[in-house]
Amino acid sequence: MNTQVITPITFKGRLRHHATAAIATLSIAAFAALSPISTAFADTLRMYTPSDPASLDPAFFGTTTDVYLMNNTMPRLQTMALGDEWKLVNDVAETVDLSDPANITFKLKEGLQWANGYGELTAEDVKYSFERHKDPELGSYIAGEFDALIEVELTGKYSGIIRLDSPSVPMWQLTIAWTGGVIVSKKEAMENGGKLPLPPKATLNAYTFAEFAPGERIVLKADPNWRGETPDFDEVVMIPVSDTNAAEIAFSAGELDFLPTTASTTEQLRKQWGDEATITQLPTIDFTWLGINAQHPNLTDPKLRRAIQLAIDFETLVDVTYEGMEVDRATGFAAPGVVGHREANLYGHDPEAARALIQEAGLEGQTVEIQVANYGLRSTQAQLIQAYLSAVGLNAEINAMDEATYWDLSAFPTTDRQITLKTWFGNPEVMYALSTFTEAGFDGWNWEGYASEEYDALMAQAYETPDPVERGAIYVKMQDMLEEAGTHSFVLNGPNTIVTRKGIVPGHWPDGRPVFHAFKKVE
Amino acid sequence: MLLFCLKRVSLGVLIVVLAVSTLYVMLLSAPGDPVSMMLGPRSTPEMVAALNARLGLDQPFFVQIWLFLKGALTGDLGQDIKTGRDVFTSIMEQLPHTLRLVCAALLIAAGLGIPLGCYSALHPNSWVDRLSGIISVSVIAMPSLILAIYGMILFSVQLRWLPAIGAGDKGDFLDQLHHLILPAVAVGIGWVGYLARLVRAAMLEVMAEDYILNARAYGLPERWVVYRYALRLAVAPTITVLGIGVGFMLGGAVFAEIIFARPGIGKMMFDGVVARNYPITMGVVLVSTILMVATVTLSDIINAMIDPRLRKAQE
Repeated sequence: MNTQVITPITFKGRLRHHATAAIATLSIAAFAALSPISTAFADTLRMYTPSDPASLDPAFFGTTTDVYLMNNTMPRLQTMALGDEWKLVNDVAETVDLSDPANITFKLKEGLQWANGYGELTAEDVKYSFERHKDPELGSYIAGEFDALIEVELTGKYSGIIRLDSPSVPMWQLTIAWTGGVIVSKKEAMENGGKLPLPPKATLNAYTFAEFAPGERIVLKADPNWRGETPDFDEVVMIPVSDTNAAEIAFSAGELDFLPTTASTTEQLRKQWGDEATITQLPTIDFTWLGINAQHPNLTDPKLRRAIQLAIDFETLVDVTYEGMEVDRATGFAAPGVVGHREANLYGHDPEAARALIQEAGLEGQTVEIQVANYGLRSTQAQLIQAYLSAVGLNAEINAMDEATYWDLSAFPTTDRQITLKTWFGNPEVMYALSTFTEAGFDGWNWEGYASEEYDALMAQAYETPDPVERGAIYVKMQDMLEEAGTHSFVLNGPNTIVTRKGIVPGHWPDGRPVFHAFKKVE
Repeated sequence: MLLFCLKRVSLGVLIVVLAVSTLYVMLLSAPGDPVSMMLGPRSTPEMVAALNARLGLDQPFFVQIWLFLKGALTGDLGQDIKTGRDVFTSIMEQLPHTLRLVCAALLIAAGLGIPLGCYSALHPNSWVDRLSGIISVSVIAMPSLILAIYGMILFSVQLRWLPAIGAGDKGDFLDQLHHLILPAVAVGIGWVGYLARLVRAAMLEVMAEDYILNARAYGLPERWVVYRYALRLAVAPTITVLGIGVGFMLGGAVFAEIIFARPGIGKMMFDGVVARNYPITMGVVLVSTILMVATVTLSDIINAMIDPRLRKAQE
């Protein structure tokens, strides 16, 4: 049956048709008028951050956002200088005496006020901030970093002595002048059962919290009590964006002014944004290395481990996976400019020597497993490593895991780990990484199964060596030992890419970590 | 009718308990330890054990499931492993954003799909019908993720008509609506095509019935014939599909919230799974399951109200 309906044309029908078209046109025009506007010269700095903050309490921090926020809202005795060089400058400390690494004397600047009526910063806050990490009731995630702390002895309202049970130069660089050394308001922490709330009200830096909407944004406002130069930007809006590509699109749409992004897209971004943005590649102190587990039954033979080191052309690996960027292979955990930086690796690419070692050991066709987390460039790098190992007669398999599963390898016995490719966030004090490789870490984070009494002795010596040149020499020796053992091959330090809208000059640490009060507007 | 509703609701509760328990087992069975991730390389085995005990993660999995379900009855979904915040509070903060997104997507899907399907059915084989058929199948086939990204590039980057990320300023309805358009279209557009085809097919079938011819023969206005008699029956399968569609849209909300950096429980769940944040993941799973079951149950009840035959068959 034919069900086609013939609708007569009526006045009402024509009116309805025209009204619908008019409404649609007006709607489109209205939404076009509500377009976002670039605020490159407005008072708000908009930036992306990978996630919501987890905690701004130094005892429980865990995310990049936590670090950004603490660096810009909370005080330390000393902090990193802006620019290209890793050096410490006084923050809330007027003086710091590091000449005796077991007894660090400090004096605070006077008259510094916590925001929101939490009173003046005193040495009591410093004492509380550091000693609380040793309280088992608190359950501080970084309690281990304060193992050497005996107490903070108060010598005055604004002065004290940080007493350690043994000299620990790295504790200063690694903990007290880094994120773990953030000072909290004792008054606010006590009001909240010993922990800082999120967000904390008692801040003492250029910015304080104006708004925190989980999943939406974090808004900082310039603190009128800020002791430094008035920031160019009254307000900083941080928008959590899980996906870096989405953040790059948002930057293109004019909704972000500052964007730390993945280094691998730098060349593509330069072509895309050209004159609209300033794209800066920065070295970082993060480190990526290939670990070869000496405790795994397949890898106990030192000749095999050496062969693996010689088989891989790390320079080409880095060039290929960071195409178009000026990136060199790392020579150790210590990046250029950091105490302990090595000038060169001990072993380079020598596939012939690798084949010879494998044949000598009678291990042709030996199966080894490359374990990587399947994010970013890891899978590509794993495939290249697999190809290099296959070329010298090894049967290399790749086990790519999601990130949580990958890091969970630390919870399993050492014999579950073989060849791993890892990146850790760095620190200007490379002891952070070096102290991992002891026998105690076999069933933990020492995935390479490395242990040596000589190495342990050098580590103890480094703790007590305040002179950076002497300490650096010790670190170089320790890294030499790791590479010589065939358990470590260093791959990369960073890099990092930061993007800023034209008309804004960013203020940052040498690795690009933003310092908001140092951002400048330029014509 | 009351008995029908009670039966449906009881079944819904059972489904929620089974689904949540099953998913909890799967989550706990997956490799990955949140405590190791949180504490990082400088942790000691003692620290890991202490934190596991504090978070209740050292209990056998059936004890954890039981404690979770028991707590859920009183609204206590535990604490976020990373932030220590109450999970229920966190979910209630984010849930309205997801509901807004899903409702908007549903409105787009139904608001465009049903009229399009009606029009196509009333003008079969016309150029509009043919064009809508092509477009419908195309949007069904195209992954929503691609639509979302290209939509951002076109409307946010090139034209600067619509914002790319965020949910808009609090309290500013127009701004929030502005921010909702692109994500809602990305989530709902596939369903426009699907519903259009479904309604078209159902309408064509119903319009061919004798009682429609009878109604026309009585001289009833065409509008009455179409909307009061034909569409009422043709839309019944659509309501059922929409009920199931809400579940798919909740899933679509996950990617939309990630791509468009919108707050919501979809993004919460994604972040929770990646970080093995069990309380957050299970809290969101519970809420999502309840929403899904409630929507399907509601669509069944609405269908029974529209079509008495269904309710009599069930009772």
